[in-house]
Amino acid sequence: MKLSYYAKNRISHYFIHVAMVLLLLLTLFPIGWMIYSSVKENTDILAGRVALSRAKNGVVAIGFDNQHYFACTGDGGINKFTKVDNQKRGYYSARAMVVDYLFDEDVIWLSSANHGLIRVNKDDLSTKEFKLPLQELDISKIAKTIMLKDGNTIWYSVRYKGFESVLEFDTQLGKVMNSYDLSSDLSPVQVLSLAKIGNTVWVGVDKGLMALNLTSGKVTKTYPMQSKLPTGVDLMKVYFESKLMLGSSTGLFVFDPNAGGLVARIDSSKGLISDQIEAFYINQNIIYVGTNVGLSRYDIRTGKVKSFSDLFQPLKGGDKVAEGKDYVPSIVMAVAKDRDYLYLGSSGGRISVLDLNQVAIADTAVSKSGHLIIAWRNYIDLWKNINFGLYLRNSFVICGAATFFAMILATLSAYSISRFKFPGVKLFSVAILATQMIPGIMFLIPIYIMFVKFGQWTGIPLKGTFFGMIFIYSAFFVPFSIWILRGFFAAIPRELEEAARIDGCSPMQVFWYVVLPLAIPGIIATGIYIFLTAWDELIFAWILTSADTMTIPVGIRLFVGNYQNRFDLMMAAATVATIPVMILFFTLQKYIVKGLTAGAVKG
Amino acid sequence: MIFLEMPPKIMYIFEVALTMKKEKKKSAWKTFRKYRFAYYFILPTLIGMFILHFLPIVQGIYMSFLRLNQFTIGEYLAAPFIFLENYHTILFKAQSPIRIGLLDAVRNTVIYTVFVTCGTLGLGMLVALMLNRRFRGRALARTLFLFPWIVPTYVTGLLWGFMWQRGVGIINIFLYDVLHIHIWAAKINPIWNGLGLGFIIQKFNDFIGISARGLNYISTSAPLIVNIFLFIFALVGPILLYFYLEKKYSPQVGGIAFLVVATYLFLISFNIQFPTQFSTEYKAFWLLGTNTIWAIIIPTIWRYWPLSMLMLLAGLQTIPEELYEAAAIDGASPWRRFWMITWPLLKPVWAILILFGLIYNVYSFNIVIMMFGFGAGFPGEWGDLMMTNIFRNSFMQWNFGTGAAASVLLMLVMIVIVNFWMRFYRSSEEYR
Repeated sequence: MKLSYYAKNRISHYFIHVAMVLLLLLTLFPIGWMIYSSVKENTDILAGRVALSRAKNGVVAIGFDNQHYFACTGDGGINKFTKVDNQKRGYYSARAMVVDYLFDEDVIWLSSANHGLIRVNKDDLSTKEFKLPLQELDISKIAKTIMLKDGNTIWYSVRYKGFESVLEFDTQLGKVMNSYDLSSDLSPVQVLSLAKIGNTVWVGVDKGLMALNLTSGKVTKTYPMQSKLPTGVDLMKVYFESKLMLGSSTGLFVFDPNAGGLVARIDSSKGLISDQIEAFYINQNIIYVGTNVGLSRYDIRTGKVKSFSDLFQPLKGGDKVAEGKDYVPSIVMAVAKDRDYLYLGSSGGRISVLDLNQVAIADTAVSKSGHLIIAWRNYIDLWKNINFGLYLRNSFVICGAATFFAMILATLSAYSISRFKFPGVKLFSVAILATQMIPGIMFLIPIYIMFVKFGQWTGIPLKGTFFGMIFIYSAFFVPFSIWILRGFFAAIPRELEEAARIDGCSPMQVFWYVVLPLAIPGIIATGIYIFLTAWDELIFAWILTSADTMTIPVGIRLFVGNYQNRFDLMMAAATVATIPVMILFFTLQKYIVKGLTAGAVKG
Repeated sequence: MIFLEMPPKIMYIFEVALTMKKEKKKSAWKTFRKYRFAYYFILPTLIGMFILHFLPIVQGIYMSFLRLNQFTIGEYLAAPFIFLENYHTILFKAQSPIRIGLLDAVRNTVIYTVFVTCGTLGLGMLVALMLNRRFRGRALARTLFLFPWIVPTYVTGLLWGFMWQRGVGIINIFLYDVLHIHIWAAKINPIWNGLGLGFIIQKFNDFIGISARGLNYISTSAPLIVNIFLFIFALVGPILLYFYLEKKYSPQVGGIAFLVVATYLFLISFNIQFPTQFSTEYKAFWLLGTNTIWAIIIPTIWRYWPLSMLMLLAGLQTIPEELYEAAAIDGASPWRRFWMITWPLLKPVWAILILFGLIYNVYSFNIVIMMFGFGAGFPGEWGDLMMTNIFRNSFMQWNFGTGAAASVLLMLVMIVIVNFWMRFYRSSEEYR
């Protein structure tokens, strides 16, 4: 088969096109990867995961209204299902971290580390957000949010190192009315759970239990319990109106305030499926206990334990469930009872409805998968950890001023060497090129010492000041600017100048009114090039700047040395350092391309 | 530096000197009056260059004659004058650690410079040819291709340092977790050996091993003359061969001969041997061991090739279309058209690209220093360049004297190379 010339041309062009696009993608990949990594979680990077991780959608709380039940997940998602046929009726996601839920008559209260308190209407899942006065806390370090509701008041606290207080939030007025200080003989503590009996709010902490009297507003009594509850009081509920049921990683405990101590313990020695309590539900004399390996039922009167282990066959592939199978994943994070059905929420986001009469799974549903985590927080962390604003300002001041001065000097010199054949012009041209051949390190020590000595002699500090850096940079970039600009001036026709001279212009006027306007594009192009080069300069800035005149490269170098494993912050810093020059390039690229290529083609 | 402009004939120098003398006598003041604007215009630049180029360079050269270390840095120029001892340490003291480290750095710098310069030029040429066609979105494609060139070099080092990481870097994830090259290697190796290719490579390695015995001295202890001779031979030899063959036969013959001879000399002079089979280890260390040299070359090419692309593209656009049409009518293949029309006509462009490529790559610093330990570490035996070596010698081990001596030597070598290249470049200008 013989192809025509044009057909061959078309085919080859097509292949070249494909190759070009592939090459383009390959070329741009590192930049894209830098930006992508800067919004990734560092744990994902360190685990070698390529994709962004999703928020964990484990069901942590289940609530009800007349026809529906609400499966509330750990990422702030609320799934609304019908009780009768398990149909999905709505979904709301708060995109929240570290959540806790409270169920009211017709609203759900959602507390989170990043969005404060959110009131979600059960009917249409409409929301209202309330800010809490916790701005000074680093939200990435909040480990838990805890809520307790009685009447129109919500008591609110967070697990955070150094945060020892309980806020009192009025649901009618929508603001924080009061704040109780928790400092006591147990301090420092971290708040884990809250419960209320009469006028006392019981606060479960990592070292035990404390009683907060609401009338006096002070901690009246503390009960250290670290020997029996080493991880602290993770869960707490009122039990028979005057006692407290405590859940922890060592089992369930009954606390009697009147006796002033623990009166009973329910754990694996009594037949519980595991000691690790994730959730429990008290229904008169029966306690349903969700643990990390399954569900147990404890009868208080008889002391009998029944474990539903046969319902919990672990499947291969973690929490992924084959369609149509009655399966409850092993970690039960939420337990709630409605009529004769027990609703179980799992860490994998599955809700299973257990029929208590037949003791079999009646139905299951899956909550919506969590949102992709885009960690914009990295940029905030970056800004908090290093003084980036200062570095950015310094870089702009030093590079901008140096470019300005270098351009003035270079314009004058380039004009004179391209127009006048004065004695010494050749030597000067050679010297300009020769300066490019001296290794920068060779200058470094002499200039450093010259700066220090000059400061000692005259009292004018050069080292560590803007002036010194601008002086160095402008003097350094002048030769190369002259090299580029020479071509531009040579391209301006000499006749124009001669005509202007004949019309009576002085040489200065010729330069100012005739030559300069024609050379502006070239000057701009050179200026941008100089700015980019100055922005890039590391070694002189490293040695010759001080803490308050540091430029971006030096700042980044210092920062990166201190955070070797924080690749997310490192990439965020890299992105922030690249974006200003990217913008500059995008807006002025016409000049840059023209300027550089003009110099190149002319030589 | 004046010899950059050295006139070819000695008589001519005398002539110029005589005329200049005459002119000076006649009208020094008049000349100044006539060109006073030019002198005023260059005066500020001259002052700046005097303070920040001339004075430091004189001090730097003087420093190289001093015993400047952490004990004597306080005295600076009053430190003990030892004249050429620093040079002697670097060049002749075979066992001194500074010399061994520096020779490693020299070897790496040579490999790095050659590969980066050729790589940027080749890739730039390829993409410039791709972009030099008529299609929609050409300006956009050109802009996008220019993007890596805008990324600051320290960011390039940081970014690629992250990408080269053994466990978490995307490159290893792609090679080993997506492509599974170690599994492929394990499958291919038996076939490879069965075909006898491993044996052939082994024989080739043995052959190189024998012939390289003399050349392996480069990073070990040997008399200076051997090193210098080998370097000149390995560097200049292939280039001279290229020009000889280009004149006598054609650029193609010269180019192929250059590639073969240069590769061979490179391999034997740096004791790089082909592996007899593919590596089956799970994840390679890129920032450790011999791989480091590639880990610094590739990012540098990535950062700098858009500039060569831009310049070559501009050059390509000045070549008239008729030349290609005429050649096509005469039956020249695209390959031949490239070597007979494009390449010679672009000589001014690639000549200057090679010139500045040489200068910038020999003095490359930011990428390497930021890639290893993110600005705090030692790049290793195979990643250390001249600049990083001198910087570490001077500012971390406080051997300022030897650092200055090494800088001076480097500068001298560079001036010689650039001088050669400038002559070549000038000839291309005349040719145009």
